[in-house]
Amino acid sequence: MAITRVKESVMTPAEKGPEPELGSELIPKERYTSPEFMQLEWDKVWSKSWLLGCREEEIPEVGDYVTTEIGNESLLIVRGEDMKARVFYNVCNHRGNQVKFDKGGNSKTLQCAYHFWEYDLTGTLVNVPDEEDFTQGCPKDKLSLKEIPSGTWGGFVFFNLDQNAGPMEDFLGIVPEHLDAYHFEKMRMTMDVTIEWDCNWKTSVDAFNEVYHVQCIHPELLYDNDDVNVQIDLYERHNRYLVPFHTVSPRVDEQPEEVPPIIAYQMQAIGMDPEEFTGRVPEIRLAMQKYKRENQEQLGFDYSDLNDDQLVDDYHYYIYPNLTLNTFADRMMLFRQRPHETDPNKMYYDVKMFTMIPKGQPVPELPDHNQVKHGEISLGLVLDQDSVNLPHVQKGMNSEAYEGLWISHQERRIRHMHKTLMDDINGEHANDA
Amino acid sequence: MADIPFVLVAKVEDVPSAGMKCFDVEGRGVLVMNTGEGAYKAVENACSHEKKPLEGGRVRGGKKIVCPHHGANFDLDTGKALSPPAVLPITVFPTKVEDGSIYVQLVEAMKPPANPFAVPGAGGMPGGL
Repeated sequence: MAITRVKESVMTPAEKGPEPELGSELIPKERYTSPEFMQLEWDKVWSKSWLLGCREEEIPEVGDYVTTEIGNESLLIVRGEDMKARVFYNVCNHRGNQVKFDKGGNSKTLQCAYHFWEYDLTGTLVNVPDEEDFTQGCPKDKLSLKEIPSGTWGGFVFFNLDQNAGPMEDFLGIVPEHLDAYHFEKMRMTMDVTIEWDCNWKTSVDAFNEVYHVQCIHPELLYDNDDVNVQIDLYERHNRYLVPFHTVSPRVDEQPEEVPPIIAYQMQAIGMDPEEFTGRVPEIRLAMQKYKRENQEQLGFDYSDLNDDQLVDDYHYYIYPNLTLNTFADRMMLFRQRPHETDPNKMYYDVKMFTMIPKGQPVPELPDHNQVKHGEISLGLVLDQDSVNLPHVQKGMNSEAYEGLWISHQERRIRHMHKTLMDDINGEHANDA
Repeated sequence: MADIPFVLVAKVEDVPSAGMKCFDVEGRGVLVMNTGEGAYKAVENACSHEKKPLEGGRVRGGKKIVCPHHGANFDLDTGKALSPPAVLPITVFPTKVEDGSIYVQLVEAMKPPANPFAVPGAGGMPGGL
């Protein structure tokens, strides 16, 4: 059964993307299990890529700061008096103490808690107790906090550990052109959780870059998502798939005549009455698009930059190396996968939820960050289903019997990620620009 | 659960030792297992994964049932899913045996969330794939 897609988009390109030659060789499992490969990734990927630091709304005022970790590094992101967000290594130049230990706060200056060396919001060392006592010379004007390249897009602050990094815009490539239409800068974060997972960071990335698993571990979603007519688009570094929502998968043998309960719930959520719907089930998706378009003002949203498919479908982006964005017309779920400091079999899975605030509604307070171990909290049925296999995948990958990933065509976003990864490892940087 | 009446399902001899049998009780599929020494357990005859029948699944140690279709394990006392592909619990019916008959309380079926995408920490806001 075919799916109707928009012929012309508004801002976000909707047309089928290129299909680069990705080969068909086995993807070696050592990329997921080897400490040596993990070190290569640190040297060639994490130390060279533009990475997500925080949200602008986390540091709205002068002196607001947050800390974020990547590998062994802690970064301190600070809003300066000139309203610029700067990113520093979170380390005092005196004895190596971290300048800030907490996840965030507000400070007039950045004072180390050990001997009270004090840096201003631009990172300049401005006050050192007993400054005349240093035989190496007064450290002021010599030992500023080490700032690294940073930039902002869509309400996100990015950083790059490489002092010689190319422009963020080159690295993001197609991302702004594709995603500016969603106005992430107007969205607000409603959840901020980190889960410690016993798997490689790529094991987690892969889990969300294919819909092959939907029929197996998310059988209930077959009544809300078309997991067959999925458009996969592979760009230079990044990729996406477009998954039609609120339509029944062709995999369902007996197609329902009545509105499935899972879709009925989604209809009610936007104010449609499923009882009053007189069309056929395959027509619901387009009816919901039409309803949202016609009632956007009443719903409190402005969908004028989005095409009709974007009003209901999941435009699912993978931004290399470690961001996954489930984008919808008025909300977004972001995953950030971060490697463990030392162990290729562990990682940090950050889940951040964002919502567009309906016009006239109050802006919710920022959520507290919460870090837990796998299984300690539920992330809801779908994400719980996604996560339950992953520690076992990692254990299996470490088996002598396992050689590597045997990838299907519908899983080719995984192969595409590996191409970008290996281009970086081999020093063949690709740019979308 | 005190206010839910026990209803007659079967005679004890209908479910032989180490055996299981499914009965239709008021339209519900009640899978009764004889776990030995006069102990009986009963669950809804539907796996929480794809709703396929649990009948025919292996019972382990009188405490777990293994779905015969995709191998999900469930705790027979709590209904909790113990292994993938199931995540949600199955429905467990409290049982009692009196005068050679097996009775169960037809508790409400465990329901999957209305919106499986809802993320509890985000106030139930839906996520995606």
